[in-house]
Amino acid sequence: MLVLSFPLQYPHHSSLSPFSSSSSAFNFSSVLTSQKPQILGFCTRGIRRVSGNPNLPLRLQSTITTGPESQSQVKKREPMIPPYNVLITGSTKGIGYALAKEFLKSGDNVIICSRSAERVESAVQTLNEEFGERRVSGTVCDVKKGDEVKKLVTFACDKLKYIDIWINNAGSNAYSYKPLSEASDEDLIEVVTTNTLGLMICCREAIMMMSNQPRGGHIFNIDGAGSDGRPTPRFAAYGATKRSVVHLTKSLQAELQMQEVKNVMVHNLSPGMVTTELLMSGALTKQAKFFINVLAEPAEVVAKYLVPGIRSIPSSGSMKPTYIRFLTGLKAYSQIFSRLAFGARRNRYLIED
Amino acid sequence: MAAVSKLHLSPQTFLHHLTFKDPSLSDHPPKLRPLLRRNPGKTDGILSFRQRNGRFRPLRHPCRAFRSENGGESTEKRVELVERDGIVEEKNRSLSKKGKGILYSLKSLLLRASGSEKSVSGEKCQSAMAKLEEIFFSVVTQFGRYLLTMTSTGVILAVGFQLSGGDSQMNTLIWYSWVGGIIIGTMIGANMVLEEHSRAGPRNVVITGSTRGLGKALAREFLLSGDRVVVASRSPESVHTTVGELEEDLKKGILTAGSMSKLHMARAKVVGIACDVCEPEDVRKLANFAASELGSIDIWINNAGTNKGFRPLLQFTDEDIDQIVSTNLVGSLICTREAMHVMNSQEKGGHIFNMDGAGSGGSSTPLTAVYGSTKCGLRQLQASLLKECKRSKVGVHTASPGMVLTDLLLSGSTLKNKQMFNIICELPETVARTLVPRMRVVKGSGKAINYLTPPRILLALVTAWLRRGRWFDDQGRALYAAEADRIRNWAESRARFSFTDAMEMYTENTWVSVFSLSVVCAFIILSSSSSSFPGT
Repeated sequence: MLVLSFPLQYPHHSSLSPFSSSSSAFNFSSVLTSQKPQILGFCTRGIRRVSGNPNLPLRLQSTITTGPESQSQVKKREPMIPPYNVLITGSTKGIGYALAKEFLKSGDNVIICSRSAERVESAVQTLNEEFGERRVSGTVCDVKKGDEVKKLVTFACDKLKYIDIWINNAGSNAYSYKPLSEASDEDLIEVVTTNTLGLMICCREAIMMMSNQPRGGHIFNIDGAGSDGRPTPRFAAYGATKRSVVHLTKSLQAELQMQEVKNVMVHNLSPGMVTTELLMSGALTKQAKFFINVLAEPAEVVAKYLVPGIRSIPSSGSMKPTYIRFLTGLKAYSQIFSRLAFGARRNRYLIED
Repeated sequence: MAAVSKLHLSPQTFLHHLTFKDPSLSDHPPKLRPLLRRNPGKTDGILSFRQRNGRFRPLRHPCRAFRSENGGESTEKRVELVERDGIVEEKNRSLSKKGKGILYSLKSLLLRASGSEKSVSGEKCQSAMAKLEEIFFSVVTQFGRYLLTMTSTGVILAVGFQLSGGDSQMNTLIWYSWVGGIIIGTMIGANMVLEEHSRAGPRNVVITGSTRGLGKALAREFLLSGDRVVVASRSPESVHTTVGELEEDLKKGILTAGSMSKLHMARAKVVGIACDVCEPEDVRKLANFAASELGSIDIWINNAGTNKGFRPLLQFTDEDIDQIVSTNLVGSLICTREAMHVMNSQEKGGHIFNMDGAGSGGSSTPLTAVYGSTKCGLRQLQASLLKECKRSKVGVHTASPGMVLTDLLLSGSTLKNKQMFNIICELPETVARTLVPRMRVVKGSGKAINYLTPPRILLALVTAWLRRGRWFDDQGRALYAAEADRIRNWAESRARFSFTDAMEMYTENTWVSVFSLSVVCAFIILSSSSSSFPGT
């Protein structure tokens, strides 16, 4: 099967969708000899570098109004040195909160935000007590709403002047695990707007902000169940949105390369299964309990693993796309194996029958 | 060994027929000719392309006719065993379909003949006679085909006897395998006929976003197949005009159609309602409207989708992103859910189709990041739904139209893009014509109905140089006819029944089973013949 992906010139319907598993690439240029061969760099799986070519037809510098690359070319890029300024959305509980804590422990400055003002306030208060004043600040922000995200950006500029690491953590599955046919309108709309629309708006604002910063920046999108394309029955909408997150990251990476934005990068971040409210609310079936016991980890453990990984990216200065995974396939299989073989982790968080 | 080579060769020809059975492909051989002739003096650029384009549609006719002859009559060249199944089945079907008509017209003729002595109505009698003659002719043709296949299977028998060299044991084996082949072939044919018969009748179809582009073409195609269609779109005016246009098309279709399809089309109807798929209330209204207007919903197609042009994410406004996400993802989710509600309450269930798009496969879609990621999410949704609907009567499927020349694709496309479109794009009508017959006969759940199948892509790549000026010229101006003209040509080419259409009705699985059966038969004959001649 083949994936034809036309990264630059023919972005429309670039994957001929039915043939998703890629194993062979077509080289169109031999077929279309009348056209410039270098335009037709067909490659498998998307994000190949095509931007070294000065006479590309769809070059976008002229069309970009914000002109990030022109600025970045004029100004010399400053190296990113710790402490970093970190912004985490949806960070008053769960993995977002744990990440914030872990960044603070590493000496970074953190901005937290969430939909509810009380939660933001209490979170800021507890974090302040632990790590001292001025290192953490928080604001109310609903990521679905463009103007609120813009306000968040201005708030971040006021407080910290620039943001090095922006983590799009806000996500929801409306805490409901049921078949799609029983899902309510509000739940579906909330899931999709928070996970997909909110993420897109945040990405756009973050790219806009970071491309104008001399230090540049890194954006991390948090994936979730379903992002590998595997089915997620009982939370179909959530899975679909998380799949779209990974795809959006991929497309944005390709777009940034096309526009020759050199100082901003979008990454994926996979926390695996974390024993947060979002996951635990679905622990109803035997199967779900089994997998939660075997594979899930508390948010603190996951954050402790992820944060050094995240921080190593700006400190190394590399601008390559990464996908940081906590629960790698090997880890998952070995844990399942040890459970099956030695009964490890049985009834760890939940009592199995 | 003559049988060996024959039987080895034939599956290939048969396969060839299988893979290239679609009508859109059939226009390449004739198209090739004018282009080839024209190519040496290709200085007259645009003009010649236009001319060719004008020619392109009328050429469709002879081509289809040629193919139908090829499929039906020239049986000797093909494998007898395989062909026999096909023909028997076709014969059965045509008989079962025409049985009523024949008897009826015979009766009416007799009545008129007996009545004509009293009241002189020679003209009526003549027309009835002509009709009977026509029917008689078709019956004779079918019978002739059947005879032909029988004799050609006789050839196999004869060859088998020849090879067995008078060994009586071998002879009985050959006889048995032949009879077995006949029986199995007839059973397969009968099964298909019965299935077709029981599943015949109009489907009730709901298509969202069907006032333009592919949705409209799909609606028209369903309508002309004799189905009842509900058209839905955001604006009430466009729904109204679309319903009017489609009714017009249906009337024209009935005028030009043959007697059989006329019968089908008499039951077709189209209704419309305004519906914004992002609004759960609207979708509920649409489902209730469809259920009350048509009684039940058999097929629901989530076709509504939007793209908002091709540009980097930074240039999309909040409203753009909101609209794309809510139309593509929220809309599909809500529509699927409502369709599942309706279909679960129906006795015979139903089928839901979600439309694929760029990004469904998982490769990146720069400049359409939002659209691509929503479509990618839909693919994951499909996998989840498949698990959720495992034991229900509802089938969830995907339909992938490939690249279609619609507003969604053409908005903001550059010259280079358009030259690319020449190679791989198709008109919405062409795509609909391929997708609709498959959607109508879909069974089970989790099927993917694709327009751009590997052979099609291969063909597009191989013939890329021929396709350069197909839809757009060097300046990016559209060369294809406006929708109204296309529809007129379309109606003409639809009018006659062709063998390829009949072949399209059956799923690939059937053909695979027929093919494997023929291989088994060939193996029996081969093994029996080689054992009698240990030397060869």
